[in-house]
Parts: sequence; structure tokens; C-alpha cells
Amino acid sequence: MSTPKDILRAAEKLRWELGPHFQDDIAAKVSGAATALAGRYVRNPSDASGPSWQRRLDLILTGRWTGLPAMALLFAIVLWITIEGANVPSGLLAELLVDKIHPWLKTLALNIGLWPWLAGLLVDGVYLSTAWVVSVMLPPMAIFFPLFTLLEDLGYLPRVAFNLDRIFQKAGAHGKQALSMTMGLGCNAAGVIATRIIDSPRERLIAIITNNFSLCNGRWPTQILMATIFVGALAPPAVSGLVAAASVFFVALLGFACALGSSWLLSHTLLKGEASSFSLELPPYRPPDVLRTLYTSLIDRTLFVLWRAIVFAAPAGAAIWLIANISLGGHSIAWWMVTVLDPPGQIMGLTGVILVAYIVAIPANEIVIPTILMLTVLLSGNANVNSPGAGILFETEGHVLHTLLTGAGWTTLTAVCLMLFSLLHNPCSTTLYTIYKETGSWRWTGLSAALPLALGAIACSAVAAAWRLLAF
Amino acid sequence: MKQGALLGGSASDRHLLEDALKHLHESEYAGTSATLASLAGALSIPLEQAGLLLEELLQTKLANPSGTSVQLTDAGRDEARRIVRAHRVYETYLARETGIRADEFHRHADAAEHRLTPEAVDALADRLGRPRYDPHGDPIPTRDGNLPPRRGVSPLEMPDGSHALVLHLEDEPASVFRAAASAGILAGSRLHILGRRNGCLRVSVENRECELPQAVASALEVEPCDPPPPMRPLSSLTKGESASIIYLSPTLGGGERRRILDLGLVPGTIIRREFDSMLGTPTAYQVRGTTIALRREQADRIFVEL
Repeated sequence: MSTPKDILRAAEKLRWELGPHFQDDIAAKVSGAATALAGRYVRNPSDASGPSWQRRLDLILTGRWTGLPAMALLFAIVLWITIEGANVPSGLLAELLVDKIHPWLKTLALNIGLWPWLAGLLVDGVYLSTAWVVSVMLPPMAIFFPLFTLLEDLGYLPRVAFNLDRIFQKAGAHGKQALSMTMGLGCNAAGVIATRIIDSPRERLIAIITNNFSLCNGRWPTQILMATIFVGALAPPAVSGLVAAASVFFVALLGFACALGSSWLLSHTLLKGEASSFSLELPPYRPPDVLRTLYTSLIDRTLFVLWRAIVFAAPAGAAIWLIANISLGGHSIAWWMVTVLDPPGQIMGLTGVILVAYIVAIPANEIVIPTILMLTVLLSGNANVNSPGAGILFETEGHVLHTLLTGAGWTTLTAVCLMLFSLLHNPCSTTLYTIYKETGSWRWTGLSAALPLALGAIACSAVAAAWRLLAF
Repeated sequence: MKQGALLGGSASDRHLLEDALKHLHESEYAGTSATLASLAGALSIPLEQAGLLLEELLQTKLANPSGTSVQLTDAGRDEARRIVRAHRVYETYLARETGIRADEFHRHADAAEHRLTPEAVDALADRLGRPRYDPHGDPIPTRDGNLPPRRGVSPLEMPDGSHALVLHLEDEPASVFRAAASAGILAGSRLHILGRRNGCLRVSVENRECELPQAVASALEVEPCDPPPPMRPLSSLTKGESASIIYLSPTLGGGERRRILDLGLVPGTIIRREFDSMLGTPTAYQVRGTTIALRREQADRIFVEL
């Protein structure tokens, strides 16, 4: 009498009676059953809220007066360890890859009878810029990412999102954006991937587009160099280090402000919508598994990002070598590019060389300074500096650098604008590619490049105009 | 389906025909009769154009004349419910999986209903767990075109002092929808009818009193329900105080509601307020041995026993 069809029809009819929120009842029943089971078989020796030191720690780390200083201190320590700790291994890697292997490869290439131009293209172009990226990028990332993962494992990072959520909420974004932005201090590509923890697609897009405002590892060296040889030099020697550090800190803070400002802008224009839910689990503090942390952060984050950077740096190396070595109408392509870009560069307080460097060094911010130096020497024909040759990247000591750059017309304004532009320009191609992979859209990728670039052009031009008006 | 017959003209002609079918369906469902004038009004088109549309519907056997009004044929009803289904499934998708504002669902869904094929709608419905009600509380026609009969009454017909469960909130016109939504009333809300004053209906919803103008009240459909137990918002707990959750506001919808349920914040759960963030909000709560942070806006919409 009742066939399966009848039953199905009756069930379908009955389902209308359940109303829109019957899932609530199911969830309540499931939770209730689970709680009853757990109550029967799981023994819970301590109070459910965990030991009291956990709670005391939370009161300090999320306290009204203590939360911010604790957070600032922890991140200052992480950044300091990263920057200081990376110096020595970076130096060693550079010595090995750039000072030792590069000449050896060059000799080898010429000895086996390679045409000089091909040897130049492959060894001076492709090999050298890749070696440069590896030696500058690998050590800080190999230090920063494990430290970051340790903080994550300790249970501290969710508290950062908890602490900063209100600010992000005001900007129409999600508190977890604090985490992807902190990750961006290591590498923006990794930061963009880290936005996966944000459930709401709208807020995730905001976090992706604004991640570039986190000053990444590749840009810290540029900031520190400019701050040291130009900004710090303005102050008396006793405090010059402090002034330099403060100026870099200010730029990083400006990046944070820009990220919030553009999040607000996006959430009120292109990405309008409801602020989504914020429910974040605050896990108990626990000792991290150091070996596992090291392994996962090195494999998942460091090597992954490094590989992408190498893939993009190799062709850029070829491009840099080619524009320096191919002549059109008696001048190298680099000369033509610099000549064309110098007027807009001057408006922005920069130079044509800097803009060209940012165009050809789009694969990695790490090679911007070496490219600037190479181009400066190539075009000014400065004989005081021992340049290895056209299209060959190099770096040199601070005071030599100062002489070289002021000789090429650099002033404090140039340095300040370079610091600004280094913060506010399009993401590197590794990050852009990652943004494309994550969003699947060229439009959002394009916006992620255009937004900071436009901000940078405006900010640099405004600073340059004000500077010249006040005639420092 | 009947699409071949409909697809005579351009895409915008097809949209108009589908909108006309929807209007006939809506009238049938509400128990009113659709006429040439009501069609022209609903679609905001001139009478002659509405006449052409009706003629086309009659010719393609999607509708039959019945006195001065027009009625759907079985084929026409199937076609109309296919479109209504596309509209409501798409609104459910918008509510659950995007951050688009509730008062914009309708506009987006009005465009999507003409674009989506029945297969795409079915695939979307499968992904959403085959929802039966859209975010406005309207039943979604099943893939066989089944729709339960309309139930519920206007809150204006409810006696003072009674309790009512909101079944449906009309999403057009948008201004009325916005007024109801900003008063915190959605499908699933429980109203306490307090009385009438100056043509407004005074109700209490989730411990807040508000006055609904006639236009807003008549956009609601309700049914009588039991009085809810006394309750207060989770945000009113003091530090260290515990209470049992008894009710989640229907304004917590979509993914937000699902996430909160998944975290174990279900009716019957004991929850304790722990500590506030550095900036005052969010606040950490202790639930089932874990610490969960919620924004103030959410804690205001989760209710615990008094």
C-alpha cells in the first residue's frame, strides 16, 4: 500500500512543515548527544577554562593597557631577529653564489667557447640575478616564517586578530586580516595565501588586495639602506641609528594605515556589502612542536615562495642584462628607458633609473637596489666605483654608495620618495601571480597592482611638490 | 521545456514574458486575479505592451483567459515555478555564500532568474543542501514544481497581546523591506503584538519595542505561536557570569548562523563571558571547554535565559 514513492512524496510534503531554521534543532541535538557522550567517557581533571596561568596570560596579552605594548614588543623582536639574523647567512650566501661561483661560471662559460654575449646573458643575467634573489631572500624567510609559525603554534596569533578586530571592523574588513598582513611582513605572496583563513569572499578579497601594504622582507633592505645613508645621516651621529630605525618603522606603520584606508575605501565602493561574522577560536596556549614547525614552515612557506621567486627572477635577469647590453641608435635600451621615464620620475621625487629598476625588477623587490646601482654606474660612467660591467648586478659599501648616488643627483628627497615608493608600488610578479591563482580573476589582480601604484604616484608627487615648495 | 516556444524574440522579450508569468503565478498564489492592468502595473510597462505579452502567453498556451482575468495553464505554472525557483535558490545562495546586503538580493536574483538554466539551478540547490525556504521565508518550488499552499495571516489581524511567528517578509518594494529589516524583523522573527497607535502596529521583537507603519506591517505574513521564554542578549552577561543559550535571532543568517551552530553555540549550551579584547570588542566566551571570540553585534543577537 505504501510504495517507496508514496513515502518519498509524504516526506517531501512534511519537509515544508519544518520551516527555515530546522537546522538549529538538528545542530542542538547533535551537540547535545556529543556532550552526553563526552561527559560519559572523557575525564576532565581541571576546570574547563584551563589552568589559571592561561587566563592571567590572556589578561596581559589582550589587556586594555598591556595588549598593544606586548604586541609591539613581540613583533619588534621577531623583525629584529629576522633582520639581524639574516645578515650573516646572507653575506655567506652572497660570497659563495655571487663572489665565488659567478666568476668561476663566467670563466667556465668562456673557456668552453660560448659566445661572449650568450655567456653574459646566461651567467651575468640569468644566473646572477637568481643568485642574488636566493642570497637576499632565503635567510630572512628561513628565519621569519619559522618564528611566525611558532607564534601561531603558541596560540598568540589568534589573539592578535582578537585584539585588532575592532579596527578592521571599522574599515569593513575582517579581524583575521591582521594575520595575513603580519604574514605579509615576511612575504606578500605568502600573505595572500594566508587570507584563505577568511571565510567571507568579500573580506578575503579586501585582505588580498591590501596585503601588498605590508612591507615585505624584500623591501626591508631598501628601506634600511635609504634610512641609514640618507635619513639617519641628517641626525647627529649619536642618534642617527635610532632616527634611521624610526623612519623605517614609520614607513611600515604608514603601510598599515594605507592597508586600513584602502580596505575602508574598497568596502565602501567596489566591495560593498555586509560585514560578515567574526567568530574566532582562541586556542589554549601550548608549547609548540619545534621540529614540526621548522619542517612545515620551511617546506610549505619558505621553499614554496622561494621557488616562485626564482622562476620569475631568472627571466628578469635576462631582461636586465639585455636592456643594458643591446644598443639602439647608439644608446642602450636602458638609456632610452631611463630618458623617457626621467621626467615622470622627477615629478615623483625619484629618477628615471629608479622607475626603470622597478619595471625590470618586478619579479622581486630584492634586486631593485642592485639594479639601480648597476644602471646608475652604467649611465653615469662613474669611474670611482668599481663596477663589474654592464648588466651585472652588484652592491657596495655605505659611504661609497652615498658618493655614487649623490653623484647621480640623489638628494634626501630622492631617498624619502624611494622609501615611499618602495612601500607603495605594484606587488612583485610572484605576488601578482599568487593573487591571480587565489582570485582567478585578472580584474582583481589588475586592481591589486593599480591601487598601490596610484597611491604611490600620488604620495611621492605630493611629498616632492611640498618638499620643493618649502625648499629644504 | 517550453522554452522553444517562448524564445521567439530577443532576450529582453523573453525576460518580459518570464516576468509576466511570474506575475500570473504570484496572483494565483496570493488568491487574487491577474488582469491586463495588474500586469502592466507589476512590470511597469504601458498597457499595449502588456496586451502583446498576454496575447503571446495565450498563443503559446501558457495562460488561459477566464472572464476579465487571466489564469496560468499547467504548462504555464510549471514554467513560472521554474523561474520562481531560480530566483529563490539564487537569493539563498546570495544570503549564504556572499557578503551582498540583504536589500540587494532581490535585484541580483531578478537578473539571475532569466540567465540560469534549470540544470544550473539544480546544481546550485544541491550545493546549498537543497534549501526549502529562501532568506525571506518564501518556500522554494521543488524541482518537480511543488509548492505548499500559502498559510499565515497579516499581523494586523492578530489580537493585541498575542505572539506571532513571521513566516514571510515581502521583498518588494525595497524601502518597505529595508524598514522591516532595520527594525530587526525577518522571516523567523517572533513578534509580541502590543497594540496599535496612530495607524502603526506596536510590536516587541527580541526585547525591543518598535512601531510598524501600516505598509510595513502588511508586508509581513505571520502565524500564531507560543510566547517565547523570557530572555536577554548574550552581550548583557557580566564578566565571569554563565547562562544557558535559548535562542538565536533569525537576523543571524546564512554562513554566520551555520558557523555559530558549528562552534556549538546551540540552544541549551552553557556559555560564560570571559574577557574583552584590548579595544573593548570582540569578547571571549567560554563554550564547551573552548574559548570563542564574538563581536558585540553577534552577542547582541544570541539570547540566553533570564
